[in-house]
Amino acid sequence: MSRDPKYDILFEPLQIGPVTTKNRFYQVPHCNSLGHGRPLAEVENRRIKAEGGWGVVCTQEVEIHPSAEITPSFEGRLWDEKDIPPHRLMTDAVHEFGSLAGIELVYGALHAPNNYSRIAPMSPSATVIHGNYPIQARAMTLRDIHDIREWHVNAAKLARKAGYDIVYVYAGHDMSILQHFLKPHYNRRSDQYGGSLENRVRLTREILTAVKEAVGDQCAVAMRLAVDELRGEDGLRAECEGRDIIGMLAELPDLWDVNVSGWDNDSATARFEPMEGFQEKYTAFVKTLTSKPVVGVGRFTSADAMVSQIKRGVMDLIGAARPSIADPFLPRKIEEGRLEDIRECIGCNICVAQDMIVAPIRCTQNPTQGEEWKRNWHPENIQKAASDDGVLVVGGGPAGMECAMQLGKRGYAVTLAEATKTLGGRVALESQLPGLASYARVRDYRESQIARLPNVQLYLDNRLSAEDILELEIRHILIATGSDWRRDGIGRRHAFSIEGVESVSVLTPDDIFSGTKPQGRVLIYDDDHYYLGGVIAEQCRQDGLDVHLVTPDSKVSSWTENTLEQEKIQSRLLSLGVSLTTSHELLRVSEGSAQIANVYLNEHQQEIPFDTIILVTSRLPADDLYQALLPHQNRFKTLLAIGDCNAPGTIAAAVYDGHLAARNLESEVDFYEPLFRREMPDLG
Amino acid sequence: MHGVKAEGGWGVVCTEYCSVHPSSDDHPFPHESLWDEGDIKNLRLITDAVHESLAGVEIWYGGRSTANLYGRKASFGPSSLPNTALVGMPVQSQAMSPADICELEIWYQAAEGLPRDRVVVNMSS
Ligand SMILES: Cc1cc2nc3c(=O)[nH]c(=O)nc-3n(C[C@H](O)[C@H](O)[C@H](O)COP(=O)(O)O)c2cc1C
Ligand code: SF4
Repeated sequence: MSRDPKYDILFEPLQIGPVTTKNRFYQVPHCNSLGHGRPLAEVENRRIKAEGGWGVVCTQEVEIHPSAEITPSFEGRLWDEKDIPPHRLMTDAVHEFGSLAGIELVYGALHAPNNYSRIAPMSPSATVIHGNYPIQARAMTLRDIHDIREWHVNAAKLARKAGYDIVYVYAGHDMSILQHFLKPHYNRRSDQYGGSLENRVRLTREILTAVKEAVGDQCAVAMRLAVDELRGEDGLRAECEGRDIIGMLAELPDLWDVNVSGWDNDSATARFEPMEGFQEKYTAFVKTLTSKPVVGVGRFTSADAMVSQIKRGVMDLIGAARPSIADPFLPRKIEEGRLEDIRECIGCNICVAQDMIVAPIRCTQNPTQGEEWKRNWHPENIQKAASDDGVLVVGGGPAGMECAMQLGKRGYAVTLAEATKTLGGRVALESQLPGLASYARVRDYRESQIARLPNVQLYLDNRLSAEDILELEIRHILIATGSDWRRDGIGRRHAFSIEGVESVSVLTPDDIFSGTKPQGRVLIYDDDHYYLGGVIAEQCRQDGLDVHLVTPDSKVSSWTENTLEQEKIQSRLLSLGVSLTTSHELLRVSEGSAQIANVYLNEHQQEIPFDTIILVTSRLPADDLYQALLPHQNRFKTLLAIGDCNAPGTIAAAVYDGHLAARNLESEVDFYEPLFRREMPDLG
Repeated sequence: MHGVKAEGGWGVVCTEYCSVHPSSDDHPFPHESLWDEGDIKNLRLITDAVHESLAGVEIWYGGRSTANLYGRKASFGPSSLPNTALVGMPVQSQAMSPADICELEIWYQAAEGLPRDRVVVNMSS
């Protein structure tokens, strides 16, 4: 199929300084925690994006000097000549597909604790560094400023030597020295680099000029600038400094890459920024002040929205981080008129969480993300079936759907049996809750793929027993029957059941999903710490109930710090009027009343009256069917529990597990030998 | 580092925890591993450096206390319970079947079968 001509504009080439991109799809810099620690995995990750049609493929943050390094993170590194070879592999891989390779040079300053080099960080003025590290940055001298300029120039020359086409100067996410200079919060200098905005912009201007002079003949020089920090008067604002800075430097870079700051605002989750193109209101002005090309971001997954951005003059190039993670082949699919094949990002930030915990990137929608080199997984290709055998997948949630879809793509005759009337399992249920509508995309993509695979037979409203399955002639059985929330209160803090829960009627998220309406005063006990407890609190408040959320952690939904949502969640719950009691555990429950105790000082106890109590603690695998089949294991070639039914986890973990099982079916892989490659130093 | 300890006179110098099988990694923490022959080459550098003293290796299988952030396998555990890794991943362990338990015993034996001075079995996590 060929594409609709209305999308042609997305495939028009565009000149950026001395280089030209073949189309308007621009993978903006994003980290993947592969970087300098896992260079081969890094290269494959970017190669696949180029293969998928992105006209520009950028690196992640790349450190330019040991005095600003972010160990333990594995991002990019270009300190000296010795760092060039892995970068050369990356630019070669990107060029193989006619795409441009971009590199984001970063001097992290307050964002770089220098855990490896142990050099004291530098900052415009002496101040504390980011995070809770008990160290401070020293104030930069004029000599330091000179050095930083030189380090940018050196790194730019190394980048050119490594084959990059676009070299970044970066002032975003509160993670770069240049943004630190722009902000009066950090910049208290009284010399020519502090005070007036003109002075605070000086270093950026000098570095842009110097880098252009050094490499501008061959490389485009891009400026990534956060035009608004979304902190009102307490930060840079698009209508004030943002506008003025763009005005002052308008024609200096070859490309403007503009967004908002901090990272939580830029990579906002769908729960807090549900709309595609959500940054337009901050960045749209940029094109009115410069003749240079502009790239912007905003979780773009729809071709129509992209066309509209360009036609309305908001931007020239469609920047994407997460949409390119969820579907590295997004441009190719638009080009080939296969819009229905696009795996749309759901805006959950599991990708970001991996970076936060310094582990290789993964994605809820794209289980192959980060596995391109490690497991040799391609997002679009999968090996052919090894036999004509039939396969039964029981359960149409994230794991079962992914597994059935991939087995269908391999060519197996697949039967997918789902007990309820709809597909989706937990994502169908959770997407009904406030802020989680986009989670349904996990189902929608797979449902539409499965519908177009003639060799996958779907049976809804079809609950199978062990006897039913034993009667079938199918020899490969994959059980994906999900999990149930526990009613006994066992969770992260409580290893044993909470006193009294068996004698009162408690609700769990499963009851909320199945339509039970909490009444009166609602007490939510969250010992799960991911999003669900907070989301249910929001739902109950929207229904006009009195809500009290208690958690043993010192913050609500504490794991969402990793998805950049925690502060937003706590603020939202407070503004909705939810009472929050943190650092308290549930001691015992009786009819209408709960006793809680401070986790640090157990004798500090309180009674909380309630009409409804909801326990969000942990889950039990719903593996009855699997257990009933286990004694008959010898009758099957494959009998495997996958997803939550094997080990309750994230949606991403379930999709991945379904994918893994589909790839491994009838392969040589020993179930107990997780087959992956690792990058090891060769010590001879 | 271990060589310096031996030089400083410690009669026994032990490694940190050392995973016996790729289904238990403690990523992002850089621990030791004894998964295959390649690891032996690397650990050999430690035992050589420790030479005069005894070199100990603490073989380890993390179970629920690791989130397998590299290998991505659901951690094994006696029952399915929330993960307790430092990063607090919102995932649970996979309850082990008797066959899984047999495999685990084999992995420990395999790691113990590798060349060594002394093996410490970690029972604490
Ligand atoms: C996993 C991840 C890592 C990121 N790392 C970087 C980075 O290294 N440098 C940078 O400038 N922006 C980084 N970003 C921000 C993105 O470049 C982008 O501006 C933001 O995600 C909004 O675009 P999107 O909605 O298309 O994801 C990262 C984003 C994600 C999701
Ligand atoms: S992990 Fe979630 S937010 Fe990140 S790219 Fe995948 S679907 Fe999008």
